[in-house]
Amino acid sequence: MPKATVQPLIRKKKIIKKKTAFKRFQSDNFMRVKESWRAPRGIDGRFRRRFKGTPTTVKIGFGTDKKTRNLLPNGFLKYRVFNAEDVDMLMMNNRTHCVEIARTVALVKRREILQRCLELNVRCLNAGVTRYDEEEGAEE
Amino acid sequence: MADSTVSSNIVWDVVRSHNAFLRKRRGVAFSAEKGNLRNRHGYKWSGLAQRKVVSVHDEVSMKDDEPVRRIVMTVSSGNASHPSTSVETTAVEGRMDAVKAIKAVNEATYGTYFRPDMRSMALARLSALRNSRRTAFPERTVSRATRFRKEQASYDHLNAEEDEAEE
Repeated sequence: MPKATVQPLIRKKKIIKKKTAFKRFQSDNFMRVKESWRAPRGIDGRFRRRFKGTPTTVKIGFGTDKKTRNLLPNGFLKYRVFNAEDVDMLMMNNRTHCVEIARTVALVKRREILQRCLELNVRCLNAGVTRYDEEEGAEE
Repeated sequence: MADSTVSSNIVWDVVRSHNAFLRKRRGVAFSAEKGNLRNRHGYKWSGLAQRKVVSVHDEVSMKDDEPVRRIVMTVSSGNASHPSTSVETTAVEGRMDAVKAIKAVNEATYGTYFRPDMRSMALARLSALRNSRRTAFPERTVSRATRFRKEQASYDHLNAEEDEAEE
């Protein structure tokens, strides 16, 4: 009998406070000033002093809620695994964490990991190995 | 499981910052040792520092060159410096039905006041492992890449036929 897919325990919706990137001050004025963020340090700088009319600066208030930090769109936190034994560790944490198979793991071990995930009802992000129907498999 | 000659607090102080079973990632610290029922890195759950340790886990043994899995429960008994007698192992699978297995775990943790705080987690673990036996393994698995390649190959075959027909 197939099991019901495991659902995440954290139900809180993740709120993204700012979708656009913070740009470095005056990066729009000079080619030599790149866009990647640098903290303003000038002693009299109007940007540092957050004057009216200047772009938004990086502030602590833009930080993500701790309860939803690192949360994936599927509601789980991800945990990278390298072998089937690693999945056992998530046996009692399968409502909060899901498995991500590491990039370096090849097909044989991927299958083992996926099997263990199915057994222990742990969600796997990058299954990448699909179930193959017997009819389709018979083509081989 | 801490040695009876050493305080479990001292052992915890030693293993807390770093040990071989610690898996630290992205704000979480898991712990992989047997006897850690929740696999969380913490004094309460630690299978290394605590003197009274209950473990519920899969044990893999070889029979006729094939791996055989069984669920076992181990309970620490006696001195950790004598590994052969320090742990008492009970199989909670096989001929045991669910009720008996639950009773055995219940008895070992709560019934004997050995680790009453571990009862719920030990039972949850037992149930997770027992459920894992009921999952049907996928019969045949083929990667998406292989599948894609096969599909492509089948088109090639058709294309070749068309080419021949045209000729």
